[in-house]
Amino acid sequence: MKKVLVVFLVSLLSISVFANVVNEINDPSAYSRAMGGAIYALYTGPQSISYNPAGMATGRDAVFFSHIEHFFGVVRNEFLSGSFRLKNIYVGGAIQYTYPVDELNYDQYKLNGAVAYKIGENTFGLGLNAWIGSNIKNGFSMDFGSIIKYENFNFAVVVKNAFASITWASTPSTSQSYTPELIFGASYIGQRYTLNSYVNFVSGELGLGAEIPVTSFFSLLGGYRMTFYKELSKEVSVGTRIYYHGLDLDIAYVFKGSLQFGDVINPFYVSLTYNFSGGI
Amino acid sequence: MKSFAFFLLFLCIAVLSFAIQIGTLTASPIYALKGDSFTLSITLSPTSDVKSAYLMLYNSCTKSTETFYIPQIYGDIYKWVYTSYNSCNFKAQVQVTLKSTSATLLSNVATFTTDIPAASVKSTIVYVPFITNATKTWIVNALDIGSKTLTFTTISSPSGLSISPSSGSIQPGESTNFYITQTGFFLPGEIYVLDAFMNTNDPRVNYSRYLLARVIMGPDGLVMTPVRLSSNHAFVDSDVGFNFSIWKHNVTLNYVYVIWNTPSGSKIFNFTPGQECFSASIRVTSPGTYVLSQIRLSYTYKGSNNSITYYPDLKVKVAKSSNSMDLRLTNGTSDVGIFLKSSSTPTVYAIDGTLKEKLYVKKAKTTWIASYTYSDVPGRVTILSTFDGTDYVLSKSFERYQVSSAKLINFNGGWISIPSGTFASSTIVSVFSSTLFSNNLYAGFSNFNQVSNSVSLVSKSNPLATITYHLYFDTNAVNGLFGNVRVYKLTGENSWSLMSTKPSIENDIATFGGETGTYALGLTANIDKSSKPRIVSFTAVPKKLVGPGNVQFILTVDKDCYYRLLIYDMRGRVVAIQRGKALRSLGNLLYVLNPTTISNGLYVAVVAIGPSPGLITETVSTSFAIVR
Repeated sequence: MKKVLVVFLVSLLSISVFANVVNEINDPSAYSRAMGGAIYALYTGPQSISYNPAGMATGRDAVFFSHIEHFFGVVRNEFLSGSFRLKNIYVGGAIQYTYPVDELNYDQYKLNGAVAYKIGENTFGLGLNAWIGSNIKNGFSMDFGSIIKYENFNFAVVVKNAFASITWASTPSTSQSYTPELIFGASYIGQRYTLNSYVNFVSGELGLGAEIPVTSFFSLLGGYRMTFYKELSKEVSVGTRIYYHGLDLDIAYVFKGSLQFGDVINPFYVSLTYNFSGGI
Repeated sequence: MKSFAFFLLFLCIAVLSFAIQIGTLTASPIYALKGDSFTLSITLSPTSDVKSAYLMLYNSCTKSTETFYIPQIYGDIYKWVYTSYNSCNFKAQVQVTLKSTSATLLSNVATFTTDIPAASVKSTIVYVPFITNATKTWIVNALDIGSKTLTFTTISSPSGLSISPSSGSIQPGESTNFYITQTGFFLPGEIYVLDAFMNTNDPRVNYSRYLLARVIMGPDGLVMTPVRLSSNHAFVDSDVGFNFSIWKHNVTLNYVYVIWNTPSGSKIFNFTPGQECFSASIRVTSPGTYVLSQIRLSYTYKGSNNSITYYPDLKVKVAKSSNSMDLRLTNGTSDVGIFLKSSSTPTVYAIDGTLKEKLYVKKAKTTWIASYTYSDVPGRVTILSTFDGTDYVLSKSFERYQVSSAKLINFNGGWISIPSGTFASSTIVSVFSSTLFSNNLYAGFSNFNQVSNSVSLVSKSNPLATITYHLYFDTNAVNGLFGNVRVYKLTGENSWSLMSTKPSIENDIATFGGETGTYALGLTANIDKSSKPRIVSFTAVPKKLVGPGNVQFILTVDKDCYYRLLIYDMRGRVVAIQRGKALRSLGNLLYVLNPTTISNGLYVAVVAIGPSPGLITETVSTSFAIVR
């Protein structure tokens, strides 16, 4: 059985490099970026809308904002999201704005709506995504996610960008469909640290991350990410999380291809979460 | 026994009669089908002495004799008409009784028969107004309507039709189909009448030869002669010539494509249609089998556009060899030097038009050398070498052109534009191209990295205007260093010089002006590692690609340097990588991104430069968008 599973996973990975996935910043959180993007199996509040809608079910209402300086600041990304709780149901929304800062006239918005339902210690979520932009007439996709708890482990299964289709304002207009992304995530939540991982079987991305709380208001974050069959895809990331009265400040720095250009290209992430019901 | 008695009786009567002239009893026809009538006639004179004349007819089927008493009399000719409704043999004799002597005379015995083989053919006449190479077949049926086996042989008159079966037999009451196929070669412009005949054993008069079919062809049409190859076995780096002719009448050719399947893909020759003879050569550069697979023609006939595809399927086996050949055309003369490297003694021929001349070869160190003075007429000259113990040949060709006005000359690896008035008078120019990285014998290539075929253009006359050369170069060998492509000219016997003029680069073609001589494209390799280069500009063109097309990345630097280009999608994944060298002050075209395999959206291109491949001193990035 194990062999069959291994063959299945390898087969998925082997086809992934050819898959046509949506070209967008899909990892807007500094907290996630510091841990190699591996927060799919974690409950992280409104930022989860961009990863796994089931992750909204933290038990608290919150708003989240992130800013990314990407590729020397040539591209920037702003992300704002919020979520609130109605008993076992969590409702969230997000808006993401991606734009270049040089003379290129191009921008795109992504609007998300998500709902999650918690049953015991397990959660299931659904997300709806829409795109518009300077050259995007319209676009739509759906996300499905779950987080299953087993002892100290969380396991996540996410299907992102199902039924994804974007109509582009080309000459003439063209409609592109995209491959749904199947993502497995796993987290080990220990007393003194958290270990996280994920693999995207369609885009070929794999991430590993760890969070080590140092004090009651400060954690160290570290991560590693790569894309199978993609040259120069390895990244090492570091970051920190600071907690203060319901305010979570995350800062991440990615050594993206220190093998490629030294430190000049490495993206900088900062994100801020405010939890209305107070923090740790 | 009865018949024998009759004959004895007739014989006695005949002996007694001598006073009257009895002619010969004849049957007409002798052979006929059942149901046909026979006429038996005899001359009796004087008729005044004829008291009576009876015809006695013996039937082999009934084995009985029948007597016919009443003849038809025309002067002194007595006739009996008889119709048989069976297939039988007959014997007839006339008995004459005289008035004068009451004697009885007997005639000769005439025989005739309805027991014969006989054919019935549904002949056809076919009119083929348009002649092509396409084979056409018609079917004709022949039936044996006689009572005996019909044997036959077939023939085409004149030749040009193939008839199957060519011989055989048909049983009574049975039939056979004949397949008549046009197999001859017919030139358009004439009208051809071809008959397919069947010779039989049908004994009836004028029935021994039957027309199966008459094919009337022409005069319009388009016909291609069989393709001829210069060789079926060649060593790598040889020129294999091929030629064919297209004959036409009342037809306009639109295009002629020849398609070769080579080990490295298809190679298409596009010929100018305004000619009858089509001739070219393919440079075989890889071992394996080269197949002249298709010849595609498009033509207009009576206002209608049509096309024909021929499948010659001619194969050339190409083998690797340590043997090599190079030709060197000498400007100002009609001499070609031939330089061979071979472990065995080569036998070298020059094929100049219809002339094939064996050349004297001498060995100088490791090289076999020959020379040939070619005639000053347009056409191809092929130098061919054979080697003992193998069928494979090594050959190289060059072309001579008559230049009297502006002329465009294509060759293996580019083309040359000769403007009007380049030469003071009509002159012959010769063009030879040598394959990139072949085992050529030129020294001096170590001075630069050759990235194109070399081309030689020589003439006895000096050009009065600049000749424009267009050379394809190997983009993989250039590796993005498009601004580094330079023109080198063979100035001495073995020395190449860098020309001061920089070529114009567009896609994978370098264009430059020059005189007669030998040219090749190369890369300058000298980059100063001690200085720190700076990026002057780095752009993606277009910044936003809307619709189909490519995105080009252009870098300008202040010093020659090495670069590394990476293109990222918004997930941070690398979608393209390019490395190479960039030249000072030039807009170096680093890379051409074909966006058909990536998603629409925003991308970032990052370029890093440095004085050496492993050292990066500056990096910049630029965004661009793809909206297909």
